[in-house]
Amino acid sequence: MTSIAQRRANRRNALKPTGPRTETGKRRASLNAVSHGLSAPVDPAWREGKVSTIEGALKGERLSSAGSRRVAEAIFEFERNIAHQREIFATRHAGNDEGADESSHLEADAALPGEMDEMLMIDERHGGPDEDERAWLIEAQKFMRRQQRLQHARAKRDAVEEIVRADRYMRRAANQLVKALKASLKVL
Amino acid sequence: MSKGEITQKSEISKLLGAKPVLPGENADEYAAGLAALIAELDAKTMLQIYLAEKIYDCLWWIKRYEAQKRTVMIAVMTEIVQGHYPAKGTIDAVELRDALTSEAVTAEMVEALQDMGYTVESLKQQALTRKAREIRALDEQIALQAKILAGFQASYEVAASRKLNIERMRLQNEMLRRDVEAIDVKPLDKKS
Repeated sequence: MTSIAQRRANRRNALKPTGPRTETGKRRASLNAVSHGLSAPVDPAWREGKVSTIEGALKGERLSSAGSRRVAEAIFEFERNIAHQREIFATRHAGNDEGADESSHLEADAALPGEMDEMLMIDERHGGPDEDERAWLIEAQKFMRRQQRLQHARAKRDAVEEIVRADRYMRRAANQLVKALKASLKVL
Repeated sequence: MSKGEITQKSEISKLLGAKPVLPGENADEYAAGLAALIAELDAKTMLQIYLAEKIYDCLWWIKRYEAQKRTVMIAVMTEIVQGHYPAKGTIDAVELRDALTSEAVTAEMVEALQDMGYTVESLKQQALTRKAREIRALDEQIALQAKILAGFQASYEVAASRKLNIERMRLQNEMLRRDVEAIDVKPLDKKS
């Protein structure tokens, strides 16, 4: 259990300025929120153009002008999220996705003994590798493969984290769109 | 309805340059499914068509995630077999992967798997255990799409202020009338 003295010290410390102190630290922290496309700042003029176009397209629907605006903004945000989701999925699917990666692992693994033999045969024509060289080659191959797998695992973990984050944003955008539609259509 | 017609109708998505189909997916299948849904929902206005499109997109995403789950499972199943020492020389991992994908596992493959102490089902179970986290993540994505889908369906009902509601109310009235008629019927005497 925390002692009274410790609690007091904690309170005193909490009053001191927190956060980054150096210029580099401050610069780095200022980019904390810009971790992916959705939280990156959007050009307001571009956004306004798109929202106005959608708003224009909604003319003639059973929506008030304020309702149209709200729905248009919600559609814009939702579509941004969907585009981001699609991008993540396509990137994974195009080569970084789990299935494809593991399949390519399989093919690479299957080809490895042949490649090793070929390499050793070439060396044999020039006298062949001695035992130490051979052992070193095998160790080097093992090391490289381990590194590749580690890299793959890291990329996979990053991708999963990105998906989780994107999901949160998407859930919110979808809720906002549904709410905007229900509220705006209910008024009339 | 052709693909071109659909693109013309989904004005809002067109304005935003949305591309629902990813490389490698069947654009014709998407277009045909969307056309059928638009017809079924009787979507007419821009907003109704947009919502119908979003409803269909959710279904399409669910299908996409299901396919991804399958890909993950098959990749792991193949990896398990490949990692099994006697597998080398008796079963080709790439061939097995293709056979599992096209659901065309041959009798020779089944036999080779049995020699290693596996069946297709046991491989599936092992793959499921190994990739529980990824499979769960994909399931969560499917659940999210299902939730969004329900939201859009409800919004569509409001946007179309709709026959379905009218139909629901008609049925409610019908039930009420039946209940009222039932009240008029004299209850049976307990003693009789």
